[in-house]
Amino acid sequence: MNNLLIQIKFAWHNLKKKPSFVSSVIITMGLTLGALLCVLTLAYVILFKPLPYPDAERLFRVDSTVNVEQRKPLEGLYSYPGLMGLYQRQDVFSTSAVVINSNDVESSLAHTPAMKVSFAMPEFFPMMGARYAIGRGFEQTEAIDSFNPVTVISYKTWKNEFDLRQDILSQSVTFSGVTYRIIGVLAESFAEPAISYIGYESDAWLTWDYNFRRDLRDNWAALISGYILVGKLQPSISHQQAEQKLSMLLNETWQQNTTSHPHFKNSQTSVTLTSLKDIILSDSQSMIYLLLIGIVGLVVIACANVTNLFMSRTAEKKQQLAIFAALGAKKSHLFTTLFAESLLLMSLSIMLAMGIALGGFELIHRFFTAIFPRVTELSLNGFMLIAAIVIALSLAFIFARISSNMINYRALNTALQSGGKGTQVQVSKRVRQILIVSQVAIATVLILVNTSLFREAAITMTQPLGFNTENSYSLGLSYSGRPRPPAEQVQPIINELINQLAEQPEVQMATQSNPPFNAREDATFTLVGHEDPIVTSANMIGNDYFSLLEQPLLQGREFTKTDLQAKAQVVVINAELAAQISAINPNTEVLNSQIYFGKIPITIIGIVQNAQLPWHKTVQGKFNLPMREGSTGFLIKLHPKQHLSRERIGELLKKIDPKWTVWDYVNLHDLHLQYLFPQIIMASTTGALALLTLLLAAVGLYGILSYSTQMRKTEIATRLAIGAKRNAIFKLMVKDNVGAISLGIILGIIILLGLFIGFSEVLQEYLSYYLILMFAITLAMISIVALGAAYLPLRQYFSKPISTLLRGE
Amino acid sequence: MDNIKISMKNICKVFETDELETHALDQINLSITQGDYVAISGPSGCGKSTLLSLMGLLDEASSGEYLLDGIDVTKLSLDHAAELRNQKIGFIFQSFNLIDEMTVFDNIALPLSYHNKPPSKQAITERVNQCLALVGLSNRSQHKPNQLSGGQQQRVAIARALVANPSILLVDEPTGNLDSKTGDQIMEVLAQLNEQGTTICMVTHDPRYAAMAKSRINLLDGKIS
Ligand SMILES: Nc1ncnc2c1ncn2[C@@H]1O[C@H](COP(=O)(O)OP(=O)(O)OP(=O)(O)O)[C@@H](O)[C@H]1O
Ligand SMILES: [Mg+2]
Repeated sequence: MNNLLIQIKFAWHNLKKKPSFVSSVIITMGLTLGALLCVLTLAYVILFKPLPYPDAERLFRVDSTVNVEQRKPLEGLYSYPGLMGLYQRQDVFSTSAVVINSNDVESSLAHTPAMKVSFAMPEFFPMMGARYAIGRGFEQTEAIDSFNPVTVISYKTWKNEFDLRQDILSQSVTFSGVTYRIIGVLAESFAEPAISYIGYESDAWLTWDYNFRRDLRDNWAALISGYILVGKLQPSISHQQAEQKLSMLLNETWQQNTTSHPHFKNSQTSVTLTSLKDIILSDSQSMIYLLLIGIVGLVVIACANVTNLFMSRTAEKKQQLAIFAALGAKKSHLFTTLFAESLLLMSLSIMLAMGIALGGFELIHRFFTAIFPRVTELSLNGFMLIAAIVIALSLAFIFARISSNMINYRALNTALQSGGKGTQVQVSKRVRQILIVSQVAIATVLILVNTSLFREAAITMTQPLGFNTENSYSLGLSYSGRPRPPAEQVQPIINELINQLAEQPEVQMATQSNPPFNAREDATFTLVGHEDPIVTSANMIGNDYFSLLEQPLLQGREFTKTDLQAKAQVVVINAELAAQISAINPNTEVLNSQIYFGKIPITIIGIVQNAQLPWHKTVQGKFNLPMREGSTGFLIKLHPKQHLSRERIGELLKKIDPKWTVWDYVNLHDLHLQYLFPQIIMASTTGALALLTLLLAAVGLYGILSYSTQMRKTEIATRLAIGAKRNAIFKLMVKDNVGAISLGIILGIIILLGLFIGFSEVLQEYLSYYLILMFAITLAMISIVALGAAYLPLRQYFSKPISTLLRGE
Repeated sequence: MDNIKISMKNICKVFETDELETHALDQINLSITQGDYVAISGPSGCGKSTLLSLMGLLDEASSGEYLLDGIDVTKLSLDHAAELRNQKIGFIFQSFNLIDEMTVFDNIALPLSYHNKPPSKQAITERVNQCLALVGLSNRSQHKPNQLSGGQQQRVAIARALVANPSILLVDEPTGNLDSKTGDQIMEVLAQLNEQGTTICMVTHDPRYAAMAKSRINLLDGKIS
């Protein structure tokens, strides 16, 4: 041990004289190990770290399904009274709570921020083991039907909206006209369980009794979505037992209360229990494994590069090692010398790697919260430290081992006499070939997979929408007060706002409409004489919508104000849907024909050119209905280069009716980008990985080939002297390595096949004949890199006089 | 006079290193004719190897004019120089410079493979065996160089230099890495080759060996003295 310390000091001293070697190793290993530590820790947090909730393995979410005869099962829907009954009468959970996530505008703060609010029952916080920075959580005083308007805010809200003020418990917030007294702030460390979707973080928790659908408390026929029942299973009850009991309980009351309802004749309900762990993990498992494989591949390439650096370094240290041997150093002593150096280098690398990993955590916190679960729990932890130490030690050992295997200890003793020439320290051709094969194999896999994923994402990103988002904005309103007035009272306010907007000099056009990205995916209608419903996507839009978005009408006309006012039963469909309809009814003119929405006939008054939404791979059939009375969505088109602020709209609105506020106001272009976010993340991650792979492989191959060229300097000079042309030498280098490179590519293909079999579910949508094109591109890139790596080291030989090369300097 | 193999006029060679200018060769004038055996000698550092490199087109002169076989080779493209080296020059180095991974046979055949139109396999075998016989190593063709003694290795190098029927053999200290007995044997081979008509230009500082040549050039500080 003491010896090792001395050796490390000695190594430090030695390495100070080799800054380019040291920096190459540390940068290569630091960068890739940083990425590895980052993803490894992410994988640990997502896959293995216990959920940070007490008895987490007993926490379950209850999802209900309503089965109506001859209809698709209605999943994830409850009737309000059914859900409440289940909550109050169940006996399988030791504790349970209902939660609903929602959005609202906070109207007491000056800038009326839009916030994520969640209504929860008091049992929720203790169940999740919540701690508080200040104050308390919901208690019996906030139990169901207590009508005590209080709120627990998140640490983020406290920080962002209240500057962490200490008198926060004397403050309140106002949502939809109800003022909630702040009774507590959740601890910064509280990780909200993603029970509805990944990355959801509530800004404020409100007392259950004020949830928006309480008006449905006696309505069994209205099914609502988004309400979530979570509970902690009693230890004595199994998962199946609980499912059975809860299903019976829910079904009993459901049957009693819906028999008379025409919609739900002979219907049944049942529930499934899903563990919180599975819900939170969702389907991110294979994604994280794929990412991990990608990064491990990068690390292997980096290790191959660094192995080569270490081998050249050892060859260079031959003289020094020979002196040690002459002084009586045994093989194990020489190993210690080499190990000290590699340990020092790996320690420095892993320190850089930790810094990079921490930076990576920041990136993940910023951009991946909606993509991977539990990223809020990602931080420097024991796992990461242990992983870092294990990785650094094993790599140091491996590099030292490879270096010491190069030394021919017997020959070393004669090195001093023979003036340092000869075979004491040699990089075997086999090791070099292995390095090339592994680099090429992994580079082939990573580049092909990443460019394929990148292409997929890039196509979606760059695909034209089919309408013009320029200068167009989507506006949504929020009403502060309970209850929201009926539609016929809201409509005059909307009309007035549209009039006033239209009068603004900046505004070219304004209409009451949903933005083009709002679409129900599973709307159904029928055609006369055809039983089978046609499933398509649907939106509700305003008058002049298509003119505003410059989406060309092919036939007929678009909605007018009169259509909206008269609640006309009309529809504008896209060309794709028109084609579908005329495929079924080839003899009828689609325009002005009728489709049935339930029993109601609706006339097709227009056919519009196809548009393609960002999340669809192909054009989908679509029909557009007139905007409903009282719907508070707007599209505003400004004149070119004009700007209309959210505040201005807020002022206009205030003058019309102070109870209305701006909920959201976004540029359609930005909205488009928001929808493309997963693709953008995908494209940047895969693009970066592909580039990094190519770069590392290029640097690595160059390093290996330039070192082997260096070793063959005299041979090359001799060949040149006896009349070999440059081309012949280049061909020689290529020929010597083409075997290893081809083997690498073949190995890469085998790994790829294995990957595609192992991950067929995730990857199958990318399997297409484009893969062949991508493969060709990958091969081309690798060949260019390999050829470049073979050629560049030779250049120095072509620029110097051969006599100099022969002198062997 | 078409039997002049090498003709140099006012050849100078200046090496420019960081701060130092070394005038390795200064105004060299010489010619070597067909069948000649020239020995270049002189003290260490006087420019012998430099002169041989220029003759062998391994480097370019800083100034002056050089005709090889009547061709002006003062300024050549790299590939053209390679072609001429391949056709007209045979090198023999002090440290043999054989390629360890190749058999003796392949080492000798190497220059032929760099011909613009490489001869047939059969022609190569014939020629290589001929050269092996010439240096007395017919039974070693499938050995690797490191399985041979120093003298044998140098004889392989001579065979390799001869294989392409060069206009001139350029030899730099052929016996420098050999003991004196083996050295004598090598000198014997060279003398025989010259008798059979090969033109030779050899660098040596052993006066005994220099005496074996037909003509002698003495270099001193880059000048012919
Ligand atoms: N590539 C070079 N760069 C700089 N200087 C050089 C180079 N090659 C040779 N020289 C210098 O040119 C001079 C002549 O060198 P050369 O090798 O021709 O000598 P030599 O006569 O062959 O000596 P020796 O008998 O020791 O082999 C020397 O001073 C040498 O230092
Ligand atoms: Mg010399």
